[in-house]
Amino acid sequence: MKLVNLANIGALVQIRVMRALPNALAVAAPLLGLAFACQPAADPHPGSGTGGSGAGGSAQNLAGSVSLPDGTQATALLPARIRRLSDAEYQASVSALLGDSAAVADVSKDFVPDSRQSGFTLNEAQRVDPVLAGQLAAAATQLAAEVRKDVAQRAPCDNPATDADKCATAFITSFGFQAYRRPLDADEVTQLMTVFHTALDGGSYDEGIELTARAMLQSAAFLYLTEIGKAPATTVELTPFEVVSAISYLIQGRPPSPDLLMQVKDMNADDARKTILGTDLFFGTYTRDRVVRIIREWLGTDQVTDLAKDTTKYADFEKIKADMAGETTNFLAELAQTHGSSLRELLAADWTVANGNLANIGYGMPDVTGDFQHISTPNRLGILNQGAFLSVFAHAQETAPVLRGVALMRRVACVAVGDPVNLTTAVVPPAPDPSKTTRERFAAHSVGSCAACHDGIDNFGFAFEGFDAMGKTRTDDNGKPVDTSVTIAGTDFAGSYADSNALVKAMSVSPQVRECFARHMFRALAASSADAIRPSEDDFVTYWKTTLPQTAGTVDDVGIVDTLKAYINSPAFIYRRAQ
Amino acid sequence: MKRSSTRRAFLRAVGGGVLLAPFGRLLENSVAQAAGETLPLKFVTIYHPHGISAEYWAMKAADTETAFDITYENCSLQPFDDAATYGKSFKDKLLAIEGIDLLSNANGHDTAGCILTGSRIEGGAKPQNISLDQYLAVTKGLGSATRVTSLSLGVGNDGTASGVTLSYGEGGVALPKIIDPVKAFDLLFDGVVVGDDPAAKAAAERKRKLSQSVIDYQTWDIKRLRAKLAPPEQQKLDQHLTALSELEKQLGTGSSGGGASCMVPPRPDATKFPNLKQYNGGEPYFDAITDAHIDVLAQALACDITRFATLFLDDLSYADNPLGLPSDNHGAVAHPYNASPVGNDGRPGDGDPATWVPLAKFNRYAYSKVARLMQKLDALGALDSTIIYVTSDMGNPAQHSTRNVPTVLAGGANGKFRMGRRLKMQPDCPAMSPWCGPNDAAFTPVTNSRLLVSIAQAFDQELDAFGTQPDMALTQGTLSGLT
Repeated sequence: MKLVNLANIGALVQIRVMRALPNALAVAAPLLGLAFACQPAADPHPGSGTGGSGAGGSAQNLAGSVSLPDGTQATALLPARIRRLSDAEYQASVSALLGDSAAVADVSKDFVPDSRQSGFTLNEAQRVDPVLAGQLAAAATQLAAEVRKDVAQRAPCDNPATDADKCATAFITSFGFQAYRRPLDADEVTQLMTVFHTALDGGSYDEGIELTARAMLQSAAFLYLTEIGKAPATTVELTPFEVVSAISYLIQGRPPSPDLLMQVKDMNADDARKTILGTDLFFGTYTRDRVVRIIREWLGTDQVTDLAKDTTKYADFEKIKADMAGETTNFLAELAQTHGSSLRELLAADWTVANGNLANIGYGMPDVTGDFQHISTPNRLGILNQGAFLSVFAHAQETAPVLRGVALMRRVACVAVGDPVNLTTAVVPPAPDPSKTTRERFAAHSVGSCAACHDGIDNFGFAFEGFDAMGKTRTDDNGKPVDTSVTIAGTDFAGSYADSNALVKAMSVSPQVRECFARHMFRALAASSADAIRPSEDDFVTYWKTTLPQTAGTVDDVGIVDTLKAYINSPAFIYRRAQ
Repeated sequence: MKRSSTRRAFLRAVGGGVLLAPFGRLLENSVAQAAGETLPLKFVTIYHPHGISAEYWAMKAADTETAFDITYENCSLQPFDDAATYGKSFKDKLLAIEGIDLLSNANGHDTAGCILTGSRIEGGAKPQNISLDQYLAVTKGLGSATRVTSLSLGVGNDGTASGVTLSYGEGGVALPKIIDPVKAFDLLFDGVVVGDDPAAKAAAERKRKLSQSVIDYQTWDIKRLRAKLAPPEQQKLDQHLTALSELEKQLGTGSSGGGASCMVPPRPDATKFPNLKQYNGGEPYFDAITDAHIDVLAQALACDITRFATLFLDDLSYADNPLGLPSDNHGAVAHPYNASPVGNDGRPGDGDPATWVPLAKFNRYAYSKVARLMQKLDALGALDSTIIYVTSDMGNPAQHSTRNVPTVLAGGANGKFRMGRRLKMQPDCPAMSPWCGPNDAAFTPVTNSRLLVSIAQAFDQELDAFGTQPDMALTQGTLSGLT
């Protein structure tokens, strides 16, 4: 069996980079010939392709378990695992491979929505079911047609009659390196050449390239990120390719560049991590977009665009729904760019970024006109008092103190809330009564067995009764004054608060809320909320606390981006344990 | 299924194994059908939103089990007895059942997940067991013989929350729906050749060969990765492998010819529905999407491309909708419904008759789509071998009540159920205490689990319970009076 000499990958990547240049083909063709002289080379570890073992790769992990750094317990490691790319990651990956033509940019728009865990789309529950498999196959067919249109640049071959195999091998190796985010091994090239020949037989070279691309774009190697190291062991170190892929997707939501992959190919995991952290990873729109996505998923505000309200009561909702989503996005973007992505500011900012439409219709601010802009909102503090959160956690016809309360307790303060299903009681919402406020109707919760949970839940929710089910300010409910005063117990911000603004100000400086935030960021980044990985979460929180900036010995704020960095930098990040 | 002598004779005549699944089968079926044999049983479940206007649905005082009128003004069941519109009356293929309860322990809007699972909805999020269509098609393998094991269609909403999903895999994992009729068509018919055109056959064969090559590579690639993983991780790939097997089944190009009942329908015209999604401009096209789904589904059932399907309908909430209903069906039709005792789980009060008519009109619209499916299946010779189960997630939508949900069985069911009747189950509560609930000893619900067990038995499955309830007795037994 002939093996591709991986040392020559560098030349191939140069070809890919030069593809965009005029006359690139003239330069690329001779390099291809050079790169794929296909000299036999021994692979000391056949079948190690998934983990990827570049020529000269570090030898310390090739057998048995690795030694963990002092203080890192194997039980705190995440398991060796795989996870399917989320829909957004898939789209970013094909765009990185094939550019932003319309045929590429829209290819995943009708994909089955991602499964969620704790609201997060990055999670280990993602599967490929028959419907998604069909969609992936259709998408791969569409994308492969794009490859074929551009075959002269992507898979140049001056004389397919004689050089088809050599040219196809070159294409498989270079395109595969970027698509699989690691070098392909000999078996993979052989298998893909079989695909190529299936189309070539009775077809053309171009058709063969197209079919090969179609196979690669729906392969497991492309669709799944691996965290399994080079070989099964009790504890493993991630390959350098896995490290930079993980970090790139976590922080930027897209694959690492081929240049970066080349740069780290001979490194150990820690050096690969340092290398990618040494780039401008944490700056620019990609990271900002990731922060926006993570926070929206954490707080559920991304659901607002798929929401409807009873139009007899909330006729304005459709008019401003899209702008509510726009507010969250723009608010988070400004927060990330100019406020150090401060958690305190996220929860209690006295400003937002809204356009005239939202400010006029939703927030009763007639003087604001035009596009999205920074505006002062002293009576609507932080993201929890914005339209998107208040609309998502409300019913179609009325506010939902229970939904708002549970969201705050579980997602923001990490207060355990029981599930009525486990109580085997019938859940009967209080019947509509036009003579009472919502809060008065929910007084039924304060008696009997309901009170044990609902005293806590409802008090969180009642604080937001000053906002209706689409987030508009209100002073009365069913003709009676609303009561937003609450007493919170059982947290480190226990006390009495006049309304939701006072409550979120207290929460924004609460250590309990900060830690809860860190736990949710861990779940977003570790892509799992499973109980089984709670030791990993605890380990991360312990490490994260050591990274927090202190003023006079106390912590008074944390940065969202800093928390992402802490996750990447945590000692356990580059290791995995056997399951 | 045991093959009959006619089938064996047919297979001998065409060379047996040469005609591989599934298109050999559809020809086989058409021959069998011509010989007067029973075709394989098929199961379609259709969900319609917004519960029921019971005043225009429930049996009237003069109705009996077998003699009943559904043609009176505003009756939502009219489409089943409307020969002028649908070519014939389907009253003799109708079985309307009153008094079925969905014990979801969840808000009515989260309850659709209970319809085919008979399960409580865990945390308002998901049922706890597989749905009946998937149990029959996948677990029991009844869908394995067809090109597409099962089909899950939806109108306007491709979400997988329990409120918008009928089909669930093992453990209550929601299965996504196809909301684009063109995609549904491609899944069902892409590559199908019915006829003798050699060029078309050759082109289809090459297409199949190329697709097979891609699937072979994917399978090899997954298996290689799988070997490096621990069992919990391997499970992630096992489902992927199953999905690939499903794709592989769909590569069949078929044999020459095809029965009178089977032809590849035209690909749906995508320009008729430029937007597909609810709340995103799709509403004006929901009617066209629904019709296209139904037409494709009917042809797929008749061609024996699939035997198990679910269809999740949506409403027509947009200004100037063809029903003349308010632009917000949910807020202005379902919520104002003010029922009399027949629509209020037996509770007293006269209700407001003016609110019954708009909801009945919407209900009739939903049933008109069922009648359309029946008409198409009948024309294709497949209605007698189909069970269509039509229901909603609520009975009284204003109360969000999950009790007394409207239940309709339609089709011939291969004679397994006696059709052309109306049945009324026992009330959930004694007349003296109509507010009784699950925690009361007086509460005697008739759960949908019983219907699911009966349908499973119609498929010759030995099953005596289906669903997950704290009191598992509520999941047991068949529904009396069906057979």
